[in-house]
Amino acid sequence: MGYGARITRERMSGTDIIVYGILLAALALVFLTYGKIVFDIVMKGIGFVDWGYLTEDPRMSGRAGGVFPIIVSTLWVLSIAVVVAVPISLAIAIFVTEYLSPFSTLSRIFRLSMLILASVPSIAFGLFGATFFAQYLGFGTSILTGGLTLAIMVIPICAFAFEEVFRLLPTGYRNGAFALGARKARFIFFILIPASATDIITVVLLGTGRALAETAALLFTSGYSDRMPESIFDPGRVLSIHIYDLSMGIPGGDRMASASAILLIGLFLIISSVGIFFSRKAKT
Amino acid sequence: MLVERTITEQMSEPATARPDPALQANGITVSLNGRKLLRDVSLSVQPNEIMAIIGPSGCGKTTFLTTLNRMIHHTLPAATVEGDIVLNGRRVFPSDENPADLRCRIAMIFQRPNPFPFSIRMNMEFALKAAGDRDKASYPDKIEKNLRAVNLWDALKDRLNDTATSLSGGEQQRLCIARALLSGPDVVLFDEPCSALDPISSTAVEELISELKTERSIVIVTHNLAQAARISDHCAFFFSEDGSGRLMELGPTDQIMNHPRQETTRAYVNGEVC
Repeated sequence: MGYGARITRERMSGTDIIVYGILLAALALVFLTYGKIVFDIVMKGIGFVDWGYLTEDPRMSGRAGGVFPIIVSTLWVLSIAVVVAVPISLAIAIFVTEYLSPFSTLSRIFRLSMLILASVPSIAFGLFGATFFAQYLGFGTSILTGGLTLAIMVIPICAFAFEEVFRLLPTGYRNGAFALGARKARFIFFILIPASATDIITVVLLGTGRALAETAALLFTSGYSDRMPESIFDPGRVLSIHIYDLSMGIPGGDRMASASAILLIGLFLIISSVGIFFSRKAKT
Repeated sequence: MLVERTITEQMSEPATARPDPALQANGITVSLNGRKLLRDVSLSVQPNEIMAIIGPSGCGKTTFLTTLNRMIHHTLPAATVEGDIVLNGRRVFPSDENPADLRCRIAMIFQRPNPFPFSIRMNMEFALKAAGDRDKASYPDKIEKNLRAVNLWDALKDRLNDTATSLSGGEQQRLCIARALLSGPDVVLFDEPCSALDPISSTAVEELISELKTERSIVIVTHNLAQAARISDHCAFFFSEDGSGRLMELGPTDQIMNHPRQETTRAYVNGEVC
């Protein structure tokens, strides 16, 4: 081959092919499994998802009718959880990264406890929420109790992830800001948070997804009632509980459960898209 | 005010006794976990002078530079600093003054250009706000004046809303210099400002540094001896002995480069030690 020969990809041989094969097989396995799940849900439920399903009240324990009150309850619970959890976890992460040395005892204790809390089964948070928010603070079984319980559950996850995000901020930004005479607060609000905006949004989405999918923690905090909540002190049924109830408790609720599952996936896709849109915007 | 001094005067006078220094460091010793990174360094920088700090890697040049504007609190939080630093006749270390205020008067430029990932305008405005400048109406003029000072205005005047990270390395570094000049510092510290740049950008930044000294003093750490010879008035040669950095020799650049008094200095400038 002389001049002008095309550069072709290096040919693989021996172990390379085996490694490539294993990696590809792992990818295919995961892809096919998720594909099958989504395919089944969609095939089963898509026939029920129409305008009426989105806008009507459920009838016959959800066997017929729509899920409007359930979507409303879900969005309420989720909003409370995110609005409470994000500022608190941001504050924790900023305190740990900016005011503690990474090797200090306090910061080690923080990381260990966040790790432990993040892996506590969600039903334990549900029990805590039912005793503390519902009984002790007197919020009862309500959307507020459910939202706060979810907030407590996602705070460790978000705080841990935020801490990682802030530690990865290029040292150049940090040094640059302080060398210009910036005080810590200015650095935090005008450099640290804006420069990490994309990653902050990603973490918020991670927490939102976790909260959206949560069932166990909400069973005895936000309740089962499928009526339209009038305020955050009313109980309200979220989508994941609706799915659980339809598939486990209601004979013949299977197909409607799939329809709700489609909504849940759809809802998360919408929230993610909005998040990604804003994180792109934050970059410019 | 550039004071002419002969080599013999330099030799007979201790470094700290030169007239009216802009910046004076006396007996700076930096320790980290019981180890002395820097031992008893004293030197002074005259107004409108470029002082180059040269020496092998790991001899405490950058550490010394960061003690001057107290950035060491951020870069090496566990380090302790002894000695004192005087800026324009006023002691700034040890002092009750907030180090952030000191950094507006002793600016610092880093090895890698570090513009914030926002627009060029926001980079400049951040510096003004950080320096406590509340006169927002004057921002555009100040931004223009300082971008002109680093010869970037003509290239950037229509692109102020572009993100600063889209600039070339050399432009980024000049933007960082403009950003640092906004607070009107008396001294600018440069930590190997050209080492991450291509030769053409490097020359542009080097020429810029030479222009900057007309209004302020400059301390530059460099590994590039030719650069030190081209732009500096005085050179400080640092060398590590028993793991601690020391100031081995201080003098006019010509003396350090061509007639060093110390054997280690001679070996270093001739490329025999690195």
